[in-house]
Amino acid sequence: MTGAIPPCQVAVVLASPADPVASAQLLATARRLATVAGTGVFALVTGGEGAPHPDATGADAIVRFATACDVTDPESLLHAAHEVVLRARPRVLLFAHDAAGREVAPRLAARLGAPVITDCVDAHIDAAGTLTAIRPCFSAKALSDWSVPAPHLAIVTLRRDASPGEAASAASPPPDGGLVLPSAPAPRLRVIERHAPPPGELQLEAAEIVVAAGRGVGSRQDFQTAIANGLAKDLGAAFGGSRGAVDLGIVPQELQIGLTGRVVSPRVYIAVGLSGAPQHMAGCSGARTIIAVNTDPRAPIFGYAHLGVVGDYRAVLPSLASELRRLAPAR
Amino acid sequence: MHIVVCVCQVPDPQAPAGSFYVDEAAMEPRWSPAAQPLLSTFDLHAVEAAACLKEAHGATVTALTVAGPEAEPGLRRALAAGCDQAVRVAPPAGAGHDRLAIAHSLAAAIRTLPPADLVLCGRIAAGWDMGHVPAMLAEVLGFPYASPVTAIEARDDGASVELRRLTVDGYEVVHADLPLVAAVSNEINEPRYPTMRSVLDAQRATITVADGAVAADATAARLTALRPRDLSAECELIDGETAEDRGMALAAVMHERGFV
Repeated sequence: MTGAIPPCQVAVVLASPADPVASAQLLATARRLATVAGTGVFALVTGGEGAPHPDATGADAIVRFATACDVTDPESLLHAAHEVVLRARPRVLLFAHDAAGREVAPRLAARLGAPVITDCVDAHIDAAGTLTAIRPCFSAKALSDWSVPAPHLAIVTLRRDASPGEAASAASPPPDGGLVLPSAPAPRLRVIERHAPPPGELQLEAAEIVVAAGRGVGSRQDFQTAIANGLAKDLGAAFGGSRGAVDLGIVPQELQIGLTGRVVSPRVYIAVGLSGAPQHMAGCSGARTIIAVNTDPRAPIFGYAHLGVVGDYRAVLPSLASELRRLAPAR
Repeated sequence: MHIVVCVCQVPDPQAPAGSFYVDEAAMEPRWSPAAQPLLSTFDLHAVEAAACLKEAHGATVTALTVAGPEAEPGLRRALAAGCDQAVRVAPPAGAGHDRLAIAHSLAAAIRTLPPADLVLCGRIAAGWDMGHVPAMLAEVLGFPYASPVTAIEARDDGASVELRRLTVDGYEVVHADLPLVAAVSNEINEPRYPTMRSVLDAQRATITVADGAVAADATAARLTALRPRDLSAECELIDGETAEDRGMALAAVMHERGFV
């Protein structure tokens, strides 16, 4: 089953099936770019014929990678994306800015000698066909615009936004199997073990609500009681902490949010006992609403927060949680 | 084993907030002198990883940078932390923001050295925050690539490594044949403080300056604007007699505005 992909399109490499929102956001951006450019959108999925894949509604066609390769394996994803570019010559190739996209986009750019713009928060195409993508830089203290003129291919990764913004226009899912690509070469890295987080522990990047602890939380025990098993559990939120909290052993290192840790863009970010160092704020600048709870009214966090409570979180969080339970008992 | 660690210097990312501003007309970042140039944080972790492998298994470690002479203190820092030799390649003319030209320049320099078994990089450098170079370097060299790496150990066969890399939702333990490019994350180790002796030795060491810069490619994405971003917000403080009252009042606001 092979066919040709119409030329001059916007191609989307769908994200992991574990994160359907990321794929939906990619497809919505792709549709917007394609409408301006007067072309169509196709979605690249992996996993072999008949394998489940993220919802590709919003695309005009699905291009399927023949072998049962894993979308989370960067090497096979690179091979698939390379084949697609060579065959279909898309104008724009979009990836999610996740672990796979971060690796594959610059590698593909090097392989093709093509321009790449990563970790973008927005992208558009003007009447002359120039693609411009916008990305934060300098620890989120600046925004930069990067342009690629037509007809050059532009490889772009988009930062995930946990806030539901653009949604793909309601349409029926596209036909599957327009083109099946050949198998990838044997992977050069052999995965021996896979470790997923404990079930129930939300992925930070995908969470709509994040509760973050700073040094002020005091101890790992308090973090567990008041946040991990307290407010975050009640809100169905993910949790993490600042570099300072990690250094003091309050928060596990893999949950560090900030310049040298994870970057989150939730709808609501609740900063508890957190001073608000610029390095930390670089990791949560995409949050729609920041709520700060801190005993020190002069803490820099209140300069970034939209809502603030001055007070000891040990008193604030329990009453916050119980009142939220009373107001929305269905939770 | 020959390990090459690719490093770069960045203005101190922990410098106070006011030390950075944007020159919009020049589309360039500016720093006050408070932001001292330092070896990039993740690169320090890469140097430490190389030093640990050297101590455990024996290796020669080369620190490599593509930069002007102002980057030599960073190379000396890498020497003090366990690298055996340091090589600096002058940056390609007109490279601007073309990371692929940097990757080609690093690769060209690596090819002039004894064959590299392992190339280590920090996963990203503070500044433009791109993190492209390690992945591009792997492609240019034709080596397999692993990132972000949080543990690395040489295997007994001497020709492969076992490493941990972070995935979207956890981590994987991976076996990789050498040669390999690995981009390390800060979880991998705690960089040591160099001893006074090693610092003095590094001050006296000779840094090799190599040719080999590869010209930039005109097809790279072009920077068309750089503007400061104001992250500050107008904070609405929640009133209440006691901290408990304020907690309850916050709940009401969160509920009212549909935050939960």
